[in-house]
Amino acid sequence: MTELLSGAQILCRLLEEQGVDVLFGYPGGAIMPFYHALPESERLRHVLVRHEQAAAHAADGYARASGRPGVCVATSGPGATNLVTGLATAQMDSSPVVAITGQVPRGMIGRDAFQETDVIGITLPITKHSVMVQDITELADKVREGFHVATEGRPGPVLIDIPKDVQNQKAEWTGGPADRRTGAQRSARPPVRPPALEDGLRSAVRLINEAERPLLMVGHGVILSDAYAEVRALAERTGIPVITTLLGISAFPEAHPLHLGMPGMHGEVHVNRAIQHADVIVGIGLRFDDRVTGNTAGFAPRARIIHVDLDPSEIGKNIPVALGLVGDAREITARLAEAVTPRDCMAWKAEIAEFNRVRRESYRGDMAPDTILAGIHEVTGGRCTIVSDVGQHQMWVAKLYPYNQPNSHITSGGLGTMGFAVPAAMGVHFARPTQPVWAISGDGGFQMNMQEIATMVQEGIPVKMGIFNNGYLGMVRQWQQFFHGRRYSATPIWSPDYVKLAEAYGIAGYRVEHARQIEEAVDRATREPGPALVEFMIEQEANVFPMIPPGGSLSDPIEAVPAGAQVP
Amino acid sequence: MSVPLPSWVVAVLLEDDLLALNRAVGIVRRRNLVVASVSLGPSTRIGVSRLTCIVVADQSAVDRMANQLRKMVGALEVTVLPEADCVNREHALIRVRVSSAELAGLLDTIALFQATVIEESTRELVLEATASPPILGSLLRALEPFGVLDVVRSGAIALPRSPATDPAGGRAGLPAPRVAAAIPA
Repeated sequence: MTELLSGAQILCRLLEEQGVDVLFGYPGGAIMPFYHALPESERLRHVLVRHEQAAAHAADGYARASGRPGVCVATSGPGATNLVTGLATAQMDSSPVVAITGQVPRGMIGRDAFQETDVIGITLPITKHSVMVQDITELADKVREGFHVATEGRPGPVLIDIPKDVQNQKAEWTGGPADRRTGAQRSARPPVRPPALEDGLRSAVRLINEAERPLLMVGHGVILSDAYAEVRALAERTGIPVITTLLGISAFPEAHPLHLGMPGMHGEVHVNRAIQHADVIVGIGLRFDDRVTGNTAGFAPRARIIHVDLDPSEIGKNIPVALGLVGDAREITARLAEAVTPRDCMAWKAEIAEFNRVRRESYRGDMAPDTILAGIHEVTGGRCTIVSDVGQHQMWVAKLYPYNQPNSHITSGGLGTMGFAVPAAMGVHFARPTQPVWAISGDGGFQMNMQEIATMVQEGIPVKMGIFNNGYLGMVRQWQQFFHGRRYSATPIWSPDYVKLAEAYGIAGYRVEHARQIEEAVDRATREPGPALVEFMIEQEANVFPMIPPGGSLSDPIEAVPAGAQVP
Repeated sequence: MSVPLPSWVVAVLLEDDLLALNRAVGIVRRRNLVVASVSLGPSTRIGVSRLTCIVVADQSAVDRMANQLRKMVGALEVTVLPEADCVNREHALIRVRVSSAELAGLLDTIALFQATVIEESTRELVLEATASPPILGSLLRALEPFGVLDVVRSGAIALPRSPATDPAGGRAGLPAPRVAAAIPA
């Protein structure tokens, strides 16, 4: 059936066609035609955020938890520029976010019109792709192409900028998906499946079979390609211990005897020492980020590295590799698991066990991060998704909470975006409406996006917010303590009374000052039908140990406060 | 003194629109490498333009850049060759002052560099010249004493040398386009 529809109406039909069920957005002048058409759709639920940055993070959280593209909507100018941090976050962590922005009418573009910004120009380096729809005749192709690009191969954010008059243009709409790629794309780029892959797999199997000290290092790519079972099969067949990077956490069950932990700047000593002693490292779906490798010159000096990644530009980008295998993590890992010789690596595991060290943490009082996280795990039965912010608590949440459900840990890894947790957790809720979602932030990051409590209240989003309050921007303070002579410049941070804040928003709020109160507060928050907030008062100058100093080697961790940096 | 970095010709076939150009140049720019020249023109395919950049960098840096370009939506083909393995030309239009006293000398210089006069008046000439970028530089220096009034240069364009002209016999030794599927152990 052919209908005469506006660009805005066609956009709604296209979003439905792409399987979108929720949008996070904020209206404004240049996107008003779309918001006028939106109520006609029964399928599209709109969530009104309090700041566009939160819309982008929420779309990102939705995408990471569901594996489907998350959609955010903003108006031109300030609306669009407020999306920028969220898009950069999604770009660094390969998350399929589709941002739709209104633009001033075509005739006004380039005249510094009210709320005009060259958002395409601004977002080019921080998106996988960004396009402007120049006419209603290209709307369907560009929107379909946008969703395709966001999800195809290594996922990433796409921005689609639509001038207001294009939203108001009328065109015949017959529905039905067309070819999603543009002409030039169709003609170019044969699928990359070089015959060399077979040789590569054979070489990889040989290297793995011959290794005496092999390791698996798994990253976000394992979660993105749903390769949990394949990684587990490879590990169990060979007895190779598994390291999970920050974004790879929850790609492998932490209760599994082969799970070692997180590597890198705040990785446990035995994990980093295992890397330094390994003779073969199979890296699957990670990019050997500098927070993982430390000084690359000293990284894994004895290891030949096999790097499995979907993105050929990652092979050899950060560290030299012996072998690059380009392809889907799931498929390649499955083929490796089939072909390797079964073994158990007992001697190597015993050697790694020797690397284990008991670390003495010192906290004034009993509010240790592991006690708090154990409380949350206990009360939720390990069934919740943990969304963390950025800083000290992020490292504690990464290392101390036992993740046994696939993809149950979500954080901003690459960009390290403070303020991510609260809005991203809203998106996670829409992807997993029946599961509890905890957003855990520090007192710094929480204050960056705490306005979103209002969104949760208005939209009935039952996210539970945990705040680790130490009165400092703790990670920066830790660096100041260790490397800047304890000059705490601009890191003490005042907080409002969060319990009263919760009350002002009409939600439950609890302050926990002693370990004995943890379970009750977490339990009461969990039982709340709507959002709830729990503030955990933690040691002010607690530190994250161990720590590889910036630019240092994984072989030289700091395991205690350096001499001269002690708290008097 | 450290060894000078090699020069590379990076040729990119692009979808023919300014946004694709903007994207490609952005990828080149944000690697923070030395870019000696940029030029753009139509290719043999309709709707496809060819961007030529001369980049001064070590091989791994230029490879990383090329790999990022290969991922770009709208970049259809990316080739990287050492500048030494390419024939490389640049076109220039030069407006130069002319006086009767110096005319003979000026004409000698024009002939020496095989430049052509494409417009003349009593006071000035417009020359066109095509040469490798260093020769073009020499021409401009040679013209300087006569009074160069204006210059426009196209930026370098380049093609790989033909196999027959390569003394090593063929183009062996050039880095193969990196699909990076499997690097033998």
